[in-house]
Amino acid sequence: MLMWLTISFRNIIKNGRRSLMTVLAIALGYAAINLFQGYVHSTYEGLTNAAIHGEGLGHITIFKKGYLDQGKLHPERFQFSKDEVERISGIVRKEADVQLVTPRLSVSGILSNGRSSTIFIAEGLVPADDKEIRGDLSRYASFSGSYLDDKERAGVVIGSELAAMLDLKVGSDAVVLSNTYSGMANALDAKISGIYNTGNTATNDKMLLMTFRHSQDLMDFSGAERLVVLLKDGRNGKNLLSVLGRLEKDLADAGFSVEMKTWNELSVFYKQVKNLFDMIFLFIFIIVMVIVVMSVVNTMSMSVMERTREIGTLRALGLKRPGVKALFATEGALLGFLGSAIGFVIFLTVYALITAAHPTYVPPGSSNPVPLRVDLVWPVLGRSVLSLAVLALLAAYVPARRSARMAIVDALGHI
Amino acid sequence: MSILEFKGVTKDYRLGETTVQALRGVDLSVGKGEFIAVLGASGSGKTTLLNLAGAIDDPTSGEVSMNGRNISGLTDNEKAEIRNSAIGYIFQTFNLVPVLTSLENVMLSLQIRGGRTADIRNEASRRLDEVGLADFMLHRPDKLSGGQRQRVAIARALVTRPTLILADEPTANLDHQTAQSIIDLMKELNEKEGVTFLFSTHDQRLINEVKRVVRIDDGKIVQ
Ligand SMILES: Nc1ncnc2c1ncn2[C@@H]1O[C@H](COP(=O)(O)OP(=O)(O)OP(=O)(O)O)[C@@H](O)[C@H]1O
Ligand SMILES: [Mg+2]
Repeated sequence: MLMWLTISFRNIIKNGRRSLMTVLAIALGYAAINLFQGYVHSTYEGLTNAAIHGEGLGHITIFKKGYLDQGKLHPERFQFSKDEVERISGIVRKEADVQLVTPRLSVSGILSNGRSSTIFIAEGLVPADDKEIRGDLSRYASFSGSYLDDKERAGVVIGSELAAMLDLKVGSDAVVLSNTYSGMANALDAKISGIYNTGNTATNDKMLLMTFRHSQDLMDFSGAERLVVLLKDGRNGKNLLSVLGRLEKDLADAGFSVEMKTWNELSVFYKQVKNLFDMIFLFIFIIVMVIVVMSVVNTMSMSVMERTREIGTLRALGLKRPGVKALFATEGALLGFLGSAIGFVIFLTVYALITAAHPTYVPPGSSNPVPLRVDLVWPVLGRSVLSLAVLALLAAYVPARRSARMAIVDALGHI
Repeated sequence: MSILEFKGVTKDYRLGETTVQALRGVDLSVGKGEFIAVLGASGSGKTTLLNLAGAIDDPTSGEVSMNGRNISGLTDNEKAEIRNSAIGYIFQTFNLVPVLTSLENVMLSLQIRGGRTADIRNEASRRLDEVGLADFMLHRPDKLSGGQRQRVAIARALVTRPTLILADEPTANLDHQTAQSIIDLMKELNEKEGVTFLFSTHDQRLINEVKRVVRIDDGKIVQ
């Protein structure tokens, strides 16, 4: 086998210029695939973080069974009562991986400054719990004022665009209006304690955060719409599903009829971005594949043609047909490896440049520039070496098979 | 006991509409330790004859047997094994692998067979020494003269200790003096080690001292 490797390697060197073109095509393909994957990886990490912590989705959300289908039509039927909230929370807290479980209530209605008004969508949340999930929002550069606090029950935090529309400042008084679950209109005083940019143009003009108790008052209700579960650090990943499974069992055993969703099922944005990226990746991968296959087939066909007499000789010396195929397949795989190796160097160079220059860009749907980052994902880098080598091997196999089938006499007579 | 036997062998080549009869009923028997020259004009059928003898082509009719075994009915893999174990080839155009050194070229046939690389290397270098190329083991073919290349090819044919070595016009690409030295080397190997040779040539001068000459004309053995 070493001899075939020797022959392949020396032939690649011998046809330096031709091999170089193929190797470069593979190298650029390798670099393109991995730079994109590295970018996607960094983006996913950001998106995951944004969904779990930024959007405040936590890891798992528990709804009353049927809420996801009909909850919007008949919200009053799919709420947890005060007693249910307490008992479910108690069961969830027993799970070792759980850091906290917190109730939420979503409210929509109208925010008024006394003269004019506009719609809002609000989350009623427990300030201390939310700080643990989202981190301290008030430390964000775009945040002015202070965050929700149970001592300031009527305090609200609103999106900066919403604040601008109603000319509300930190400290301004306002009124929130909504319908209770029993269908009664209800209005409560509110005080703007904080204003921030939600980072998303679609929510920045509607978002309102209020204390959980304030939202209960507004809805005239003592229970919660859903329960958000945050797992301990680093327990996302594979662990998430097993925790989900255990919680499902424990709650069912206790007689609760609930449904649970993980953060990635709930984050519409995450799903859309992931679908888009998967699509682009497929596209890039197909292009790279076509280029690699075509250039390897081309190079190896030329190689096979030039070495027809050599093939005839090897067959006359007793090499069997699979041996001939192996010889050229080895050469193809070697081209794949060399290409990937050079591609890795190109990747590292670009990676180093990006890391050094940290460029930023404004992604669609976002209102802040974000840094363009590329992650070093070793398993992906390794796997693409392998897949390109296998691809090149398969591409070389086509001309190799043709040559192996040729009659020996014809191959020997070939000038 | 003959190691190679042709019985009523014919070979036709189809060229479009016409059929060329390259061999028209050849009977031939080669015994162990023989040194046979096949002499014939261009197009007389020498190459065809040697190709059939070497299991790299099949006869149209008749029977070619090697050590008593009919080889034309064998599978491709079986024929490959016979070529590797029982036959050594020497080509008119040397046919060395250009990217390999003399030593690696000689190692090649043994490596196809398989075995320990160290043993293979020892055996190959011994053979190169035998054909007078001890100082050229690490040279690539393009750094060797025609005569030296053909010596490498002879070492490559010898290294598997085949029953029979076939050489199709091994000297046609060499000047007369070098050609003679190649024939002398083959003869020496035949006499000293009993290697059986069947080679073709159209050069009458080279075979003055060859005991058995098979003359072929228009696809038939005439003597
Ligand atoms: N592949 C082939 N297709 C068609 N005809 C062929 C083929 N090979 C040989 N022939 C014909 O068969 C006949 C015998 O050819 P062969 O090559 O055996 O002769 P040769 O004695 O080796 O000649 P030379 O001295 O030129 O090498 C010739 O007429 C040749 O044209
Ligand atoms: Mg000939």
